[in-house]
Amino acid sequence: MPNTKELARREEMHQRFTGAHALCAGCGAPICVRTILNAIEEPVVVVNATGCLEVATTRYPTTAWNVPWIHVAFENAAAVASGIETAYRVLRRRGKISREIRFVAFGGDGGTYDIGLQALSGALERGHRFIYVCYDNEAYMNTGNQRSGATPFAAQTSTAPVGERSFGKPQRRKDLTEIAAAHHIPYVAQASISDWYDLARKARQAAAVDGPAFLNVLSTCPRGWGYPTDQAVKIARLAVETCYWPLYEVIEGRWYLNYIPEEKLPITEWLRPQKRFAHLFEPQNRELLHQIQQQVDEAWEKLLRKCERYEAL
Amino acid sequence: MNAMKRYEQGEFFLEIEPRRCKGCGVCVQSCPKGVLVLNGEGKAEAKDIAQCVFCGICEQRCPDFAISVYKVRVLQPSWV
Repeated sequence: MPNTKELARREEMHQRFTGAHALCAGCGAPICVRTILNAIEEPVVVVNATGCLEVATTRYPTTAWNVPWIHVAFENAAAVASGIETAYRVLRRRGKISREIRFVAFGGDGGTYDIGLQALSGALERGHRFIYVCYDNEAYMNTGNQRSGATPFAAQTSTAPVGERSFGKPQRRKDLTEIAAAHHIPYVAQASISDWYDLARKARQAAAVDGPAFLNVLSTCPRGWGYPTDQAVKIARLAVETCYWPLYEVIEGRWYLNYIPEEKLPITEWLRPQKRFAHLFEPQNRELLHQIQQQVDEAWEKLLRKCERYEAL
Repeated sequence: MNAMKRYEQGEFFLEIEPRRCKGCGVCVQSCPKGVLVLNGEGKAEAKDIAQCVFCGICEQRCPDFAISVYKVRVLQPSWV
């Protein structure tokens, strides 16, 4: 894995994702995209599902992408990526392309957890050599904070409001990284924008494996989560430190834990700065806080058991 | 007010472009030495450049490409 200086030199030669996009201050998506594209050495082709990232980076007549890029609908980013990869494979076999090319699909959590799940599952199962990156900001932020499959338990969204009879989203979030791992693909990883080196290393590894790779990256959203715009990295780091979002990878079916916090912080540390969880700190909702802590502990214990035979990298 | 901010320490340079900066604080929270701060206008600036080790993490992390860190090459004449 190259160090910071080499990454900077590479970016100087070819900037794949450029500035002057319209993504919000404190958004995690540009950090995630920039780090991942720069970490991959080979030429890339990007497939972008609908979402904030697509809308804000390609305002007519400008674009922030300096690589071949295709925009597709919510549900078929993985299907289009697998089609491009198949065409590339055929052209390569006929000797019309000689270069190694990598295919990266970016989708938000709405386009990955909910709408695009069957296309993603199909592409992973067919074994196309591409990288699917889900930047997970835990709701449909582009259209105004509607709940998605990634929204955590008891979070307030516009379609799961807080009131006398409701406390936000009543269901738990689904664990997409484990769903992807269940496809027996060579590489699955969970990363966060706060740990950039870890993210760059995982992108590099995903590009190196021969087969599908899936990255699930926690990406903060100041508008939907309701934290001050200058706290993005801190919020993402708290999610890792409270073990809400553990950093791990699954290589060839073996589980490796990348980071174990020295002192596991209580989940309230992560919930408190966010407005979408403000209602949990009212006295009548104390039981919910307890419940969330229990869910996080349970998931963390389960993960530790899966990883226990393998020491942390 | 929107002029490029330029800091130097020997042959190393740190430049911040305020017109590009959105004030997200990613560089401030990523800086291992705590050199960068957000000023009154919500733009990034270097508080104490003497502490800077020019690692370039802020440059790599900035989502708006507002920061550049570089080293000036001193050109040696070929006859030396």
